[in-house]
Amino acid sequence: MFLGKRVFGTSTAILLAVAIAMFAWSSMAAAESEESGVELQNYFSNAQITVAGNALVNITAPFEGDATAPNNAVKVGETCAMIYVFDTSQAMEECCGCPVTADGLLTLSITNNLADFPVGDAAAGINSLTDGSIRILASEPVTDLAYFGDSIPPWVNCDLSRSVCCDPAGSYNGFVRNVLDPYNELTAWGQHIQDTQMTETEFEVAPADLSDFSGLPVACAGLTSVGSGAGACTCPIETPTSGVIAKSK
Amino acid sequence: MFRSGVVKAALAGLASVGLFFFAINAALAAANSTAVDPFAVNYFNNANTVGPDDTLRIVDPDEYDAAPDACANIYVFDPTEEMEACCACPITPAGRLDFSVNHQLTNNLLSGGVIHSGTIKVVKTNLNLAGLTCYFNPAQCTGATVCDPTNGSNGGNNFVFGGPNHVFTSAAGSSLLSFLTHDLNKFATGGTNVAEAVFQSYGPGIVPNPNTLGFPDGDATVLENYCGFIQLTGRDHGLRGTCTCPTEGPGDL
Repeated sequence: MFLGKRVFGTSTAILLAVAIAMFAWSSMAAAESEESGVELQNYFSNAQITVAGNALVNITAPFEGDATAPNNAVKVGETCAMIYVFDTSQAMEECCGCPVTADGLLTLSITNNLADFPVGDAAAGINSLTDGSIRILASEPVTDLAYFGDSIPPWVNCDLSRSVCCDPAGSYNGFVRNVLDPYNELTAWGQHIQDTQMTETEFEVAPADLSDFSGLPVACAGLTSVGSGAGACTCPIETPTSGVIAKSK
Repeated sequence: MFRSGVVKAALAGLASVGLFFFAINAALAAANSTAVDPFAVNYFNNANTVGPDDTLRIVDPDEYDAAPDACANIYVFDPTEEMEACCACPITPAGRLDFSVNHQLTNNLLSGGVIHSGTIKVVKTNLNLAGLTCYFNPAQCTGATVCDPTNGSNGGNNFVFGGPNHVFTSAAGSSLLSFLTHDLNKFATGGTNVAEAVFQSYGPGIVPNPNTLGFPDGDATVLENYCGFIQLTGRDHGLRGTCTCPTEGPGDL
């Protein structure tokens, strides 16, 4: 009888484990089905190769801001798109943080903004970063700009009109934590150079993994500290629409 | 002992099968989550350039001839997040609306300028009540099917909406299926290169946006308020800030 109970207990444990695994899988599937998220992934191909032009990454912050908030950055839903660029052997090559407001559009060239100065080739003076992957974390901006002193590092980009910056290495409001806080979700699209043509896919929402919000900033901090200028991707400066009527959101 | 073990094993098996199907259902429901989120977003590049015009196509996937008409509310933003135009177009179940980005969505901006890139949001709502007073663009409120992208906003950018005319609920049932072609030709050395992307559900219809929890209709309230503001501002400048609704069907681009 004892043996029977023990066998049954083992079977039940196995079945329960399977059930729990299936439940966990369903939760992961739920996370993956979201089309905007706090962690996005895509790949890039044939950067630096000009035959088919220049592939772009487009990023927007779809969540509206808190229109009643006293803080102007919160009011417009300002969010940091923390961008981490990897080569095909999973080595982080560049990172940067780009501010984007609700409904704004960040358009980045993979060749000229994201894969233009990889840390791996910096010493050799070449750029062999043609293929790899891109991860984007959605994080809260830094509001204490005094932390950066007189010079803002090249991997940090700011919206000075609203006094916020985006540090992908995770310095937050004066504290070097190397940890980021997930914030308003982002949506992004990536273009891919396929031989002589381009295709495009949406960034996939990665399964929720908060460890990336510490692991990636740590890697970015290490990368930029040894890069001597290399390893910092760049954010484009958005050009406001020219016109005669003032707008205010 | 044996019988008891068999029964327990059977029960455990059933429980596992139940959990399995629960997991499958959860996964399917999640995979289908876009079908119930009325909010969707996409971007455009290279509008109003020598490249090909981009086309926005919206399909209402509701059951043919069974559900009421709905409104496709369209909000167009420049790259710096300023709303430049808005409109709302009636759409019937199984109906389709085709828009030219150059000639119907970005040709009458509030600023009076020209934009080459930006974002577009499509929000599905129920129809407004017939008889709604549209403060800024009466054409939006004529006919039996009324779609007002401001939802009766007074245009003050103060989240004040019309009283008895204000009726809004996120449309029940499926979201709209929206597609936008993308002109990828900006840096190409020759030829054209057009891709197409489905609008992305961004979730406030499923998981509310914490930034807009204080508003009765969440993100929709904010969008309607901004739309009212730009339509009020544009009213004295030839109704700037309004985009143009097509009639259903692909023939009028």
